[in-house]
Amino acid sequence: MILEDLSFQSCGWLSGKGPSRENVLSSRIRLARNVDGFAFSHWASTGELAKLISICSDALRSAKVLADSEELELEVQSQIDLEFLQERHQISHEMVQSQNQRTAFISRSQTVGAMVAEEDHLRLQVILPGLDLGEAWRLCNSLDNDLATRLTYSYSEDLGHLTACPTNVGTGLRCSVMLHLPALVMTRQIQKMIGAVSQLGMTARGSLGEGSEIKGNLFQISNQVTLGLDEEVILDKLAELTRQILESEKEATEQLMDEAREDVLDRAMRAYGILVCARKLTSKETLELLSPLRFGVTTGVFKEVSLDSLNEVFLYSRPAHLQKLAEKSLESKERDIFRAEYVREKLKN
Amino acid sequence: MNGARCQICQQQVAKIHITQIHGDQLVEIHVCPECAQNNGLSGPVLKVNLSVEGLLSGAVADEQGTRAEPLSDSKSCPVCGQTFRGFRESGRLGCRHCYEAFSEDLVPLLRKVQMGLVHHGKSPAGEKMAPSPVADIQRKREDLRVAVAQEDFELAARLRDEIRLLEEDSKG
Repeated sequence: MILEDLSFQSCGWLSGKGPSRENVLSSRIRLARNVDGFAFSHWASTGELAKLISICSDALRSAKVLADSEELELEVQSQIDLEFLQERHQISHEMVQSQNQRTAFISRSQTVGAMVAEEDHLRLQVILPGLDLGEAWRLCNSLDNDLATRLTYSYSEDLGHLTACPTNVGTGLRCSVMLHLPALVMTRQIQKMIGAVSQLGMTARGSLGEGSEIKGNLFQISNQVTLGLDEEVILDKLAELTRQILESEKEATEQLMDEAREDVLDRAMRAYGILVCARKLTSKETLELLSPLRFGVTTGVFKEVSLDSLNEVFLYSRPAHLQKLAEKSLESKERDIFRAEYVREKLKN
Repeated sequence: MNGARCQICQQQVAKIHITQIHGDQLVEIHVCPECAQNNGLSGPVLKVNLSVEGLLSGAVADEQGTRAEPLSDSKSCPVCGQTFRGFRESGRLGCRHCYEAFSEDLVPLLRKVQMGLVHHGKSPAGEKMAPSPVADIQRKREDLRVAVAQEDFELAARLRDEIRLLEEDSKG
């Protein structure tokens, strides 16, 4: 169903109304787990991997928080469908690229899920709209506790949960928030913010996570340390850091509204003008134009479009989403034309 | 940017995306891991997304920047057969037993990327692991190391005193 349902509402983590949604697009918790007695996914034989997937899938089918989930065998899906799932943050880049057997469980609201036979045997994930790390952790922890009664995790008293890469060992926890920070960039305070992020053992990345570029003033802030701190401390550190960043963004916004309100409106209007008039739009250009427009909308200076429409354009202007909408494969140049048509239609209405 | 070419060699696929901020302009550089390493692309940039492989190979290098001894590279896990070299190149261990087989080489890496060498989070049974006195001392030593590195000398002095007390307690 997830591959057929193209409605924006089906993407619960972006269409939902979460706290601080003006600046926080989503909050995500991910737990890495491995099953004892099996080699890590990339080192396991085909037979071992099949057995592992079967055991993990049985456990996931019985998990309460995944009761309404859909199970997808990824090796039989088309490339566009895999990329579509990645754009919806349901599977990782690695899951798109892998040639191995691999499975994903995705809840109906697309907020809770699990990847099987990723870098680790299990990657449990909860992604919620806005700033809601506490609830995301509660759900993910509940799924983890449930699975721990059905599976024997690879775990040591000293190092905790053992993972394929030692950068995840211990808690196996990666928590992150996706932030839109236009005022900190415009007032040239972003470097200071990045400095604070790295001093606290956190990292700032592009909106698509590891290895992705920073585009459209979207920053994904996540923890780096997984060993030596407990889950609550890691979550508290990220929550506190996010609170401080949002406070700084708010102050910078107020400063801009006092001193450069016309500039904020001008940038929003120019961005809107290009988005509704252009006949060709690249993915990157769209993302970068959405930022000043979003800033205009969240500050209230620009009222022609809603935040929901901007979130929708943010998601559907990505390559696989466009191709799903077009119901055919599109070359890069064709996509740019189709994207411009889609964006124009969506923002004019 | 999947498939984009490295801006330096123009041949390899760019896997490292560096974003620098000049004023309010974001300037992006896309390079392959090899050119990033050869050109020392690090320092006061907004973000350097080194690959896990790069991070690991850097982390196992000693202070002079020399790579781990070739001897370590030839070590292999007696259970799954993964070699330390294989791990260094892929960033991935083969199985849980690799942690023991390569423990000598993994410790410097864990010291660099983690906050201590002992797990403090939940167990599979859902219980939070209470740190033992020894683990507590170890954790505080790690905190002390971080505090000194960050030049937070007030915190460092407090941690030093706490470590001393814990050590005295553990001796009875």
